[in-house]
Amino acid sequence: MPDNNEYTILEAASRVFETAAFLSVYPHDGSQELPPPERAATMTFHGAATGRVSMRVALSVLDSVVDNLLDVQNDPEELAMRRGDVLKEMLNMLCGNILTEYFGAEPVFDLSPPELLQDVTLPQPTSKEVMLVAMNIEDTLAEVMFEVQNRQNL
Amino acid sequence: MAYNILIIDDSALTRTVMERTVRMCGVDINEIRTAAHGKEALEVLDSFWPDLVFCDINMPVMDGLQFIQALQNSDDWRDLPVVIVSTEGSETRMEELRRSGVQGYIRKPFAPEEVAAMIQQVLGATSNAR
Repeated sequence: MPDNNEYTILEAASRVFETAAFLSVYPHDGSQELPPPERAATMTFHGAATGRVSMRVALSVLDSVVDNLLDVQNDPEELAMRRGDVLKEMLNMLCGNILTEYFGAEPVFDLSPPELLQDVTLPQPTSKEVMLVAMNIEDTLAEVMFEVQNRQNL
Repeated sequence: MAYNILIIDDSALTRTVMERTVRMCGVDINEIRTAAHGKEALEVLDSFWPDLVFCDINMPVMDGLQFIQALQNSDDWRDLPVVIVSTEGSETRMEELRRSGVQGYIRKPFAPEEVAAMIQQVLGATSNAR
């Protein structure tokens, strides 16, 4: 069962994927085998606290986002071309929403531009305050990792 | 009256979605231009006179805060209405932006209705003032 911090991440992911792309997000407890993530991205935040948010998802989820927003399902080239941009923008929205949910609306953060990762492995955490949340999006496995490395300005 | 709109966002997806949303908002739109960051937007402003700018904050090269500062330092563009469209939810930053003359704030992810309401609010005010 997800704890409060995991719920925070799940709620942020639900808001982002449902509002931006009309895709439902469900918690994944591992009891059901789902197709694995195929693309990953990461970004950092600085300011009131320092840390990193990373996400990995299946390509079919990225294609669904593009198709739902731009209606290009009959254009495989357009879908493939937009996947990286979609993943980065979804992560960017997710990061902003997680930070507000987790730290409240007062602290100010500067966000780095999201980066696509060369492989699907998420970055190794460097602190103990780290949450890895698995979720089911479109019957595929997606994972979000939220790591707080430094809270000294809070 | 038909309006010109400038959309600034480093995400091509968001630029496309914003452009579509603006065109469907019920306001008469003349022309929409887009830019991937603040510096590119300043170049667009050399030859384009928008009535409203939608601007992201977190962008490479020149971010939204730097772009707004550049507008504030310009005699031509100081009064150009800017609406921030960003993932950030900090009320401290929103207050800072309001003090910088920003006319509105839409948080990502947004519903199309929020964009339409903001256009009507800001351009309606602009139109009434003319």
